[in-house]
Amino acid sequence: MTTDPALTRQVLLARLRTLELSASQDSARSRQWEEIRSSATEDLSGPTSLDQWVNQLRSELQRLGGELRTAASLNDIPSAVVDLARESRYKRIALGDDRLLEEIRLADQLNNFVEFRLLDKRSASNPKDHAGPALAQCQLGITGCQAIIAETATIVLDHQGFGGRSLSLLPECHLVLAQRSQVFGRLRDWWNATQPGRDNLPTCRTFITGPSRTADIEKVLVTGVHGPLRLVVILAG
Amino acid sequence: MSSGTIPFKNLARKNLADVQLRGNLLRATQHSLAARASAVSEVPEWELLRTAAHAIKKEAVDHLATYLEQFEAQVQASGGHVFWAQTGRQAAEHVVAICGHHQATLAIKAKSMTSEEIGLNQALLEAGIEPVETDLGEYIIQLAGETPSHITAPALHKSRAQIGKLFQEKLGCSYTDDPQKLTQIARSRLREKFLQASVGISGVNFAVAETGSIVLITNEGNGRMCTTLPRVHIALMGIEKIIPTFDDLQIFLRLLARSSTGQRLTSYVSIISGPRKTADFDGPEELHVIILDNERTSILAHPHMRESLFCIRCGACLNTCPVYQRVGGHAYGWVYPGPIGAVLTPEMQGLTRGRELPYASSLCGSCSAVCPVKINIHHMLLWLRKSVVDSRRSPWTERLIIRIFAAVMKRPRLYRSSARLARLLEKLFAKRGKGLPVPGWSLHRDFPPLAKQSFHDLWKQGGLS
Ligand code: SF4
Repeated sequence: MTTDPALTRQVLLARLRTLELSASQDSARSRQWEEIRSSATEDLSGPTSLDQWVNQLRSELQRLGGELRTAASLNDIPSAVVDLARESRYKRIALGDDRLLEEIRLADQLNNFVEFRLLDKRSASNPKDHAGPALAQCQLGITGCQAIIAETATIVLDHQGFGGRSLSLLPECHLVLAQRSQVFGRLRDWWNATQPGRDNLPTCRTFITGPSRTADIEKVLVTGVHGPLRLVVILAG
Repeated sequence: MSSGTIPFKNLARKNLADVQLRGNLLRATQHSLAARASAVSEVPEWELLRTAAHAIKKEAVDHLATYLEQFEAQVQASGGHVFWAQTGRQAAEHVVAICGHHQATLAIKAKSMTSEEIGLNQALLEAGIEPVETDLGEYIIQLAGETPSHITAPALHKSRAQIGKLFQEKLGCSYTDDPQKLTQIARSRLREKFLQASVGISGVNFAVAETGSIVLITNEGNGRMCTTLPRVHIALMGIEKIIPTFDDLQIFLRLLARSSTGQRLTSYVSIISGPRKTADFDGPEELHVIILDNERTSILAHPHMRESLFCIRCGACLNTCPVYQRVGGHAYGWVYPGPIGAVLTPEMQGLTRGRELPYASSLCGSCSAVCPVKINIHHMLLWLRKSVVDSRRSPWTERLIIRIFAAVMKRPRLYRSSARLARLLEKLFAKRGKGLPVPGWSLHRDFPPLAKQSFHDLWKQGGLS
């Protein structure tokens, strides 16, 4: 039985249309949304200051098997990165395409150390050759991020420029660089502040909460499945 | 894809006698329930979120044509392709055709219940394409040649020792029953596949009409691999996966992980809006979204059953169900087990197939109480029982007994003399303090003993002061 896809589409949509309820468009849904928005303003439990939220971030990330490190200022980030790479013997390092990494000139700083082999947008004539296998060879993948949600220790990451989606996925350790000003309390705080559905969405945006994990064998928690085995955040400022 | 036509009763009896299985099931479900309870208790607005999620799904499901068309237009605007499939077969054939077009011999798959539903792996194999399941649980059961027994934890029925032996046998590695080591073995085996495959197949957790985004939620990172590395990404979704706006997504993100695994948020939430753009470094060049009906419109046509399309496949109702906890997923005979499976299977596979499933419930209502989208699951089971009875598919003995009961209840004198007769029979045949033995029925439960005197007699004696 071969059917014409356009016809199938038409038939299916026609059937769906006859099954649509014409009842008051969307009133219950908007009413619920009103209630949720007003309840959010009433809920004052939990951390209130940025310091408290950063503490929450630290403990939540730790609980998930990740790690938060701090740097006094932006300029102190490169040495924190070097420390991490050295203590873990990471030699091959991939750098994402991010404003923060540019600002602290991370590539130049790391290039001062002969032991590191860097992969970034300048180190190859055709960066796209590096997708997949080359990035999978790296032990450390470094990116910035759009925001961090402290309550759940969630990193909001838009995959753009060099490294794209694979750089935060293939290397054994994913390192996220961020500033304190990028930390939000709850998911809804970030949502309200940025209205994420309004602007143009990137091709892929990922919310990352801890290193990859599974509990598929007897519900025993194992971190490090297909994605990174380690997740480290360095927070500056 | 299914256990054929073996009756639930037989499958359940076999599983109930399997001590190992019952241990595995109990451990897993209790673990998930405890995790869920603690995660839910942290959210003061939990009930409000459930009500909102219900309202959002209701809006979407009541206006599917509108939102699906909007979604389609958005996907196309971002450069993706949309294919509508009325049957599972059409969907599977389209997947095979796409693979053929790209001369793919290997397809990597992220966990998708919808693909199980349409028997996609079988269709791919027949076309000479190797489907590789990459979710650890799915990988395990694919190696074992079994089907998932739970919608979020497919290999929950297996112990670590069983998995260790399976890996030793199928992968030729040395035996270990350490979950950490077993996971590492799977990681290295599947890494190669991830880097080789040109086609990645995934399900869809949520499809956002407003932005044309598909949302994928996974813990292991395999979902990200399947939708990042291959040149082609095929996403398979039932028509009911749609939600109206991007903002709506927030509500479901706050509910799903806590309900499902007791996590505050799942490790990875990927929001994919179209194929790779020129400025993007990687990601699939082609994105195909398949929108599948496969009997969902028949559910839609049934006003009492519509709500079953609100399901976000969290698995909480399975974990909490006293029947599921004991018989396990395979007893239900089709891809969707547990309370929601007992609703979906008869609806999607017909009452002949699923006639017994509405009865595989104690109607305790625990499923409805935990459901994050507030589906009235046990009421739907009751409705299905009604249609079984209406279509005269219930056992004739049951129908006869109900008929006699109805006749007696309608006639006061007959009722009183029957009650006297029953008391007499109880005295003669029942054990002390127990009710009348009813052949078959009282094998697993007791008939309640009758009161010494009826209310009517007491009233007449004036002994009710
Ligand atoms: S019916 Fe409700 S509780 Fe059951 S899997 Fe679906 S969403 Fe979860």
